[in-house]
Amino acid sequence: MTAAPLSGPLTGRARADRRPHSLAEWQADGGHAALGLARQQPPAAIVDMVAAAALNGRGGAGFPAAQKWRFMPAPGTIPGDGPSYLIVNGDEMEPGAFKDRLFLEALPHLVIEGAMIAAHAMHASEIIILVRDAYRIGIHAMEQAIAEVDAAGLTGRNLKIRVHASAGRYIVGEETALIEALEGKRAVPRKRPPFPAQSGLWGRPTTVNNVETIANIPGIVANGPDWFRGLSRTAEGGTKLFGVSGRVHKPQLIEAPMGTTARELIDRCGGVSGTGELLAFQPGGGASGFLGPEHLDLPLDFANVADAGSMFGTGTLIVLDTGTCPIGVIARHMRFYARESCGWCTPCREGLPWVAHIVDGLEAGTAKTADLDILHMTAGEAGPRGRSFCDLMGGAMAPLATGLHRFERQFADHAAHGCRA
Amino acid sequence: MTVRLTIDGRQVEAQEGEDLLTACTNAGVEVPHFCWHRAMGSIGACRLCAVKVRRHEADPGTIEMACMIPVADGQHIDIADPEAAAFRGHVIEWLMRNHPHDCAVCEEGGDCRLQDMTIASGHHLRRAGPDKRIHRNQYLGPLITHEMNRCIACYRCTRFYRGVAGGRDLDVFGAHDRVYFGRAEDGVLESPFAGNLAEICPTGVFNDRGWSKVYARPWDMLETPSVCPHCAVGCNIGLSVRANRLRRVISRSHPAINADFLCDRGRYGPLFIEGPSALKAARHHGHAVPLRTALDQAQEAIAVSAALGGAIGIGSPRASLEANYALRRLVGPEHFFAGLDAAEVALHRRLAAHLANASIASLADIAAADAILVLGEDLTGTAPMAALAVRQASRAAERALAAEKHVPAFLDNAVRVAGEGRRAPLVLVTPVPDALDAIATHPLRRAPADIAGFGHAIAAALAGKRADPDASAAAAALAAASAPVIIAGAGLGDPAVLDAAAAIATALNPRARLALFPAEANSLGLALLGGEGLEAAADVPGRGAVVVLENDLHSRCDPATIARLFADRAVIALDCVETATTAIAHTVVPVASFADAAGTCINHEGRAQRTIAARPDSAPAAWRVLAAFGGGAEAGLDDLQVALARDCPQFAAIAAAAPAASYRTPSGRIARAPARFSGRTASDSAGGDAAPPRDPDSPFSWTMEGGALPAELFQGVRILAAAALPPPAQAPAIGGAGLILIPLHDPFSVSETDRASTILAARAPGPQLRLHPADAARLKLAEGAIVSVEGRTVPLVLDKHIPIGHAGLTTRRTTPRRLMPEGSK
Amino acid sequence: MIGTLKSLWAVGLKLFAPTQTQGYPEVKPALAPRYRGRIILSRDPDGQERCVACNLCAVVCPVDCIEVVKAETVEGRWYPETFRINFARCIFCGLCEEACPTAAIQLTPDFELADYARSSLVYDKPDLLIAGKGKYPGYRYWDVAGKTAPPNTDPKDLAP
Repeated sequence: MTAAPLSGPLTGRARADRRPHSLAEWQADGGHAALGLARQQPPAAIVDMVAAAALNGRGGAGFPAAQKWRFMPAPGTIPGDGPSYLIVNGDEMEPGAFKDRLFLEALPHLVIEGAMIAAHAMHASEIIILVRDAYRIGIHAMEQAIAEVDAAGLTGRNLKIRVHASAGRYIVGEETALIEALEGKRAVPRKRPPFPAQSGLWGRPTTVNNVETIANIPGIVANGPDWFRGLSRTAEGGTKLFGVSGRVHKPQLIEAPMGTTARELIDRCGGVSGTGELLAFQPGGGASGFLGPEHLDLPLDFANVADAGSMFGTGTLIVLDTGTCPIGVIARHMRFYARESCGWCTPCREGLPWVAHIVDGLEAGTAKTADLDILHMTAGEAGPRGRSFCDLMGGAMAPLATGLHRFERQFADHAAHGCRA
Repeated sequence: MTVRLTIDGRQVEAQEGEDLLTACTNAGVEVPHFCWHRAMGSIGACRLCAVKVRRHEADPGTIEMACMIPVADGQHIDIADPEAAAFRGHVIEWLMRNHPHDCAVCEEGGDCRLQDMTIASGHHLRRAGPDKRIHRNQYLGPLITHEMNRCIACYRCTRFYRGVAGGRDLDVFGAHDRVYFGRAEDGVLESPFAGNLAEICPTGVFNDRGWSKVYARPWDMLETPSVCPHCAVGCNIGLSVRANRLRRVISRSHPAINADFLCDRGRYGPLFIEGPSALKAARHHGHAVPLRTALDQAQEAIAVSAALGGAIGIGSPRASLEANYALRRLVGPEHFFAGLDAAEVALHRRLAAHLANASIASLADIAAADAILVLGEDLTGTAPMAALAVRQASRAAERALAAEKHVPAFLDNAVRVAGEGRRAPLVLVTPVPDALDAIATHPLRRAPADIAGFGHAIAAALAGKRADPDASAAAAALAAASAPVIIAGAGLGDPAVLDAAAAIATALNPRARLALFPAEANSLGLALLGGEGLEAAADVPGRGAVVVLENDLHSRCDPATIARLFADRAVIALDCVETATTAIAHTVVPVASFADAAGTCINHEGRAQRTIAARPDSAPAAWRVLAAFGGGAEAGLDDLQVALARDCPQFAAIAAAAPAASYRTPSGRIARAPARFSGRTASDSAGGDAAPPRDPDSPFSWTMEGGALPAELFQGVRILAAAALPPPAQAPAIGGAGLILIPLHDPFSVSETDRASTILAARAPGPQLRLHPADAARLKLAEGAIVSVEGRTVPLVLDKHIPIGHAGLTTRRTTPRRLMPEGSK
Repeated sequence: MIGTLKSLWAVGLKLFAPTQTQGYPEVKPALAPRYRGRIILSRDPDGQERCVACNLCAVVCPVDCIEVVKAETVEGRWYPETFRINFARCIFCGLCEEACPTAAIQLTPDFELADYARSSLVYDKPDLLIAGKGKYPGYRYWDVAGKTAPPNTDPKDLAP
């Protein structure tokens, strides 16, 4: 983790040494004030507040958070027996994403406070914070914080909170596969509809929210939606914990307003390293399409990046300089996604390993020009929404499809000679 | 509610709540698919059923998976749409990347859904390189082969094995293109429905191991519809024959009975006709003789019997109705006996009477029930497919809750999730732990003698009287249901249990249905035909010949009675399989098995169903032999049925079970052989060809000449009419000393025909005696000891679930009695 | 008259023309390998019989003169326990060779099949199986079938 100073409404609350606060420290710092405020209001009011704040989910899909909460039914209207659940998704396995880690390790009480407010707003009585197993420090910090909160009686009589360490892989980050994993089954996504709010964990109403999304809730409640919208440069509210990795001098996390440009972020990181000249960047982690130098001044938010032909996703940039072989980067991505395919549906299960094999072959010089047809076919046939069972394939095809277009010359060259970089 | 949509330009109607793929199939339009199955719903894994869906005419449309989309008014579905067709072709291309090139050495070839879908998709050029992912195969038991390289990961096997059959030891492992379907370790698949994997798997991963050993291509085999003879359910099967040899048994769909599946006993049992115990050669006084000689000897012995008090006929619950009737006609009704002990005769008469007065549950009714009571019967052992139906019924509560949450019924995985693990009430009252315990909401143990009493307690509770907590809870669960089914059977040999079950069904009228499972395929037919027990047969004065029809009497009653019956009589045994009885008979006449002659059996619902001969060259039908003894056989089965209907009006309706021999399709007879049938001329010599055989008892031809099978004409027909109930049964007096018998049933081996099938016998656990450790200690018998009981030697297994004072024994004769096991020297 | 003489001359010249007649059976005709004559079953480069009893030749045969019955070795290799061709019926169309996926059944340039008894025209496997590879020397179906692991496979790669 970067040692540069963090500032901003979210990260500015972290301790300088990045250790988590104790409950006493957190409360002394103004923590849980928002929780108190929220509990005095009816759930619908909180939902309206979050809606007015224009908070888009920070997990990758960018779905408006409040709209997801509105799907949750009120108690007494739900068939069956059992609680409603809020699941906080800390699975963070997207290549290039390392932002949720900061919240889990350094701001656990912020996450818990946000989760309790959200649970109140959506009538949930159980909160499960699912963290990827590799984030052992974050898991420990969250468990400590929950123990403190429980001991202090802050959860009240009816709310249960626990941490669950994921035993699975990348696909567990997909919200319905996450729910399957929590039920002890193979982490295979579910088809929606029915939506988790209708039939989720154990068939009960469930909402899955990203850690960063939840971390924004106390601020909204404490300071109001107008304040939150005012933090942003675009219509999408709040700040964003951007990450920058790859060919920059100082890779780091940066909290900045929504709508900050890639140029600003890369400058903050000391500029492009290697040759010093930008070749391309992926704005949203491994599963987003390549953007180029022409997009350096694009205000980064979900709508703008989508219009530019990519995906905002987790807001963690991967930067390539002109000295990096883009085929190698794509090969690395394809190998990851092929390995992480859950094996449920045909295009991803059979198509991704095939693509990975071919791109590896391009690097090694064993692939042929005819193999490029298969890359184009897979990107064209399996990329569009609805062709595969979930969006893993669509995400994996984004760097491939944009790469085939943007790096056409390099692909042809590799097919003829292998990697000469 | 009806919905109107357009499929490839054609207007069709569909039911609201259906998925698109089902609607297309019902409209006669094929949509390519792998993972969808009409018994298992939609999961959307294979992506092959991609079609273009336009919400209305002007909508440009999107590619959707037909199995996952509900029908909606005004939809336009384009299956032939170029974008959809191209995508389907690429799905096949993706599957072909790892699929081996082993069609030539794969049993599935010729009847392979992957082959069919590949041709349908138009994909035919391989672009993938030679590297394919490979798997190690597992040994999964004697019934099923395993070749994982062929897997296309449609998930049908685990969905059937775990989700439908309730098995636990087959699952999916691994990820991406290395997903693996098998067991955690090599080992015999535990479920008695594992054989269905061979039919469910759309490629050659799982195949019928028995068929593989005597392999013939699907296009090279005669296919004949038939009915399984191994229990009273009467599942519909298809028999595949080549060169006069039965090669495999496949399921044949009957919507009211077995739907699309079979149990392993029905899939592998019929191969007994090819086993080493198949009786093919006639014998007289122990020596092989020509058939003509044996028939003449038998006829003479019967003729001579007239002066000796008359011949006696012993019928059988595994012989066809026509064979039993021909024997009865030959010896006269007073001299015709049922071939069971008196208690079992009374039991089945009682069973028939209860059924005749009840609203009878078919297996389909059981599967659709929302509450079930099983009183005493080990369904998995006595009528396995009924147990499978009970497993489906268990999901009723889950389906109801999912419907409340507006989850479409066709999304199978979503229904299971939304159902929150609810199970419909299943009250399971058995003496020992049962395979259905895992899904029972009220698993209850009662000693055999107490089960009928418990049943009556439930009936009393339903009438508002006080009863013990278990009975009251059971009554409450049944009363709250809208379609309860009460199940009992002959498994414990106790008629009082049948009375209790009928009483409960009556108390729940009119919503309840009753299912009573007789012991064997034609037990009900025999009960309706009449004939007293073997004790009465042994009492008949005179020393006329005794004709035993397809029955191993040594498994029906005690040796002393058989000795009395046979003393100083000529014993003529007609059978298709060697038994202890044929071993000692004076004259042994081989007759057709169920697979070699047309005949009628009455199943547990009182449904008359017809078997049809599947092998052209076999022993004569038993009814023909018996009718010939009597001085003249009718020309064909239909003619005999006329006589049968006249003499026994209760069987007047059986002729409607299947078309008469004179029935013709527009193209002539019904062809058994497929249009491509190789090797016809490989051995012939010009002028030496014999004319193909003719089948006088059915409208089928033995060649490819003819038309297609009209399946709707082979559904059978229910024949039970309301009848008077005999007085309440006396509780069986179990006198004597020793341990009270608990008959043990297992799904793989019951009768001499099951045991005669080598492949099924390899799977069966073998006979055993099970004792509580305390009883064993008292008798000074140790685990594994070879014990002598009722004239048999069986190994001893200690089992603390056997109630003290009882002994579990695998036995066909369920009549309540006591056992005195001894250590055998 | 002239016409008749011309014809006689033309025909007479033929006395001195070289004969086209082939002195069979002392001189055998030169036939191309693709000539559709006697059917044989070949072996693969290791000497194992190629036929896997897939039945494709039998089903494609327009006159149904081929009968094949499959058996399996202990290792799981399919082979024909019965392979019968009735040459009284065979029309030498070559569809069986086209259908064969293992290059087992092949038609050879041997037309000398005449016999006195019709029953001698029914050839069984011993009459059909040759020692060599026939027209396709390099092909080994089991190398590409995908039913067995290729040589040098690391068993760890086979774990699920």
